[in-house]
Amino acid sequence: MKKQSLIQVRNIYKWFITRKSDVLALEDCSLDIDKGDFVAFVGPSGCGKSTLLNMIAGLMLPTSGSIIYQGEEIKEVNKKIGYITQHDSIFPWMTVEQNVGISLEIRKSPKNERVNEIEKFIKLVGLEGFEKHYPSQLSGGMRKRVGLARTLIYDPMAIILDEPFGALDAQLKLVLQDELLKIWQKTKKTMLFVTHDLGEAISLADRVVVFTGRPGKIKFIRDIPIPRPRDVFQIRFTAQFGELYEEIWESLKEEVSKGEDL
Amino acid sequence: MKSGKSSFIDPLDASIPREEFKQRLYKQQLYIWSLRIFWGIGCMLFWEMASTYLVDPFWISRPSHLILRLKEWYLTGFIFPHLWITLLEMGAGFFVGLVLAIAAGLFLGTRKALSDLLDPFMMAIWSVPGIVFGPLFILYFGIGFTSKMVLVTVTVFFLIFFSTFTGVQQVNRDWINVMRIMGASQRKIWIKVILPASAIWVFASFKNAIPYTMVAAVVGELIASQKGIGYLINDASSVMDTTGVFAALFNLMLIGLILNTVIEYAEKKVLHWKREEK
Repeated sequence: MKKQSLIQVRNIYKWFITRKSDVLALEDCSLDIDKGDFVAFVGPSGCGKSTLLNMIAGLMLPTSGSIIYQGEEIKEVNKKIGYITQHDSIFPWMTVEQNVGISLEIRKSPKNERVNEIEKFIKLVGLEGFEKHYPSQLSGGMRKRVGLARTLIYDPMAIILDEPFGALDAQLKLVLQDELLKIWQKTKKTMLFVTHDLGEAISLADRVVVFTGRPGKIKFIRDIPIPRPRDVFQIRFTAQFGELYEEIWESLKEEVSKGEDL
Repeated sequence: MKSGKSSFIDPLDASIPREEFKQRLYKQQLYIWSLRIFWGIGCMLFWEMASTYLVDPFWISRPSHLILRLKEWYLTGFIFPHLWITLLEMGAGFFVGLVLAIAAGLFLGTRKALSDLLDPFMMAIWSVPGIVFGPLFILYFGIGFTSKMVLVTVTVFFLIFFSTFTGVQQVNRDWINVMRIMGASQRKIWIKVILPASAIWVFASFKNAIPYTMVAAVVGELIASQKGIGYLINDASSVMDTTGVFAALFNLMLIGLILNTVIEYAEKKVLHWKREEK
C-alpha cells in the first residue's frame, strides 16, 4: 500500500462572495505534498495561492473539496502547522525570547523546559545576544529569523511561508534563503513557500507549483532536480537553473500577462 | 539643524564621542532651561510693566498681586478644599470614564455586527461635545460633586471609547491568525495580542482626554457649584477680582502641567517596546 501523503488537497473550489459579484478564486485544485518536501507556489497576483495555503492552515474553508492533513480533514484552524507571513507578524511588545517562547507559553509547557527550548531555537537562527531586544531594535532580516524560530519551536510538521522575504532587498533575501535551506536540512520540515520570485522558487524547492491567473488552477507542477545541498548564491549561474527558469517562465509569463489585461 | 557652529546637537548624532556627546547634551539642556526661566521672568516683568503704565490693573491684575494672592491661598490653606474637589472630580470622572470606555471599546470593537448596527447612533453622539450635557447633569445630580464627576466621565468616555474602538478593529489579522494556529484560546489572544496592540491607541486618546477632564470639571463648576477652582473663578469675577481669577487660572495650569508629565512617564513605562528604537 502506498504511504499517505502529509497533505492531500482534493478537488478544491473556493468562491468569494462580494456585493458586486461572486469570484471564483480556486478551481479544482488537487495536490499531494509529502513529509519533508519543499514546495514552492508561484503564479500571478490574485491567483489564489495564498488562499490555498490559508485553507491548509484552516483559516478559511473550501467551498467544496477537502484537505487532509496528517490523515485528518481540516475543518477548523490547523494547530499542527506553522504560519509565517510577509509582514512581520512577530509581536512588537514582546522581546525576542518572549516572541520565540509564546507558543510554549500557550501550550503551558513547564518553565525550565521552556527556557532551554527558547535558548536552543534562538541559537538555531543565530540571534544569540538579542534575547532581550524588542523587534523595533532589530533589522528586517533579524525579525524574519525571530518569526522562523517562533514557528520552529513548537515543532509543526509543515510550515507555510507566504512571501516571507518579499519586502527585503536582494542581498538579504539570498542570505535568508541560504539560512532557510540550512534550517530545513537540519529540521526536515515540510515547507510550503509562496513567492513572486521564480528564481527564489527554483533555488529553494523540490517542486514548483505554477498557478494560472484567476480563477486559480494548478497549471503544472515541475520537479526541480538540482542536487542538494544547494548554494543559493551560485545556483543562479548554473545551466540547469537557467533551463528550468526558462521553461517555467515560458508558461508563467502567459498567466502574468493575462492577469495584466484584466 | 543648521550647519556650522550651531550649539544644538542631534540626539542621534553618532559622529561625536560618547563622553563629549553627554557633556554637550547636558549643556544644551542647561541652556534650554535657563532660556525658559528667562522667558518666564520676562513675561512676568512685561505684565508688571503693562499693568503699571499701559492698562489699569483692575482689568489684568499684576504679577506681584498674583504672587501675594497665591501665597495667601496656600499659606492659609484656603485653596486646598477647592483644589481637592476639582482634582477629585477630574480623577474619579476620568477613572470611571476610562474603565467604561475601554470595556465598551473592546466589546464593540470585536463585535462587527453590533457595532455596524449602532454606528449611526455612535456617530450622532460623538458629534456632540460631552460638555453640553453639563446643565442637564446639574439638573439630575445637583450642584455638588456628582454632577461634575459624571460630566467628566461622559466627556472622557467618548474620547477614549472611539479610540479604543478603532484600535481594536485595526489589530493586525496576521497576529491573531498566528496565535490561533499556535492553539491560543480566545482569552490568550485577548491578553497577549488584542490588549497590548490596542494600548497604543488607548494611550494616544489618554493624552487627548486629560486636558478635557479639566475642561469638563471646570465648566461644570462654572455652570453651578459651591466649591472648586471653577467656583473660585466665578466667585472672583462676580466681585470683579481679576487677581483672584488669575490665581485660580494659575492653579489650573499647574494641574495640567503635572498631569501631562505623569502621562508621559506612564506612556514610556507601558509602551516601552515602542520607544526603544535603535
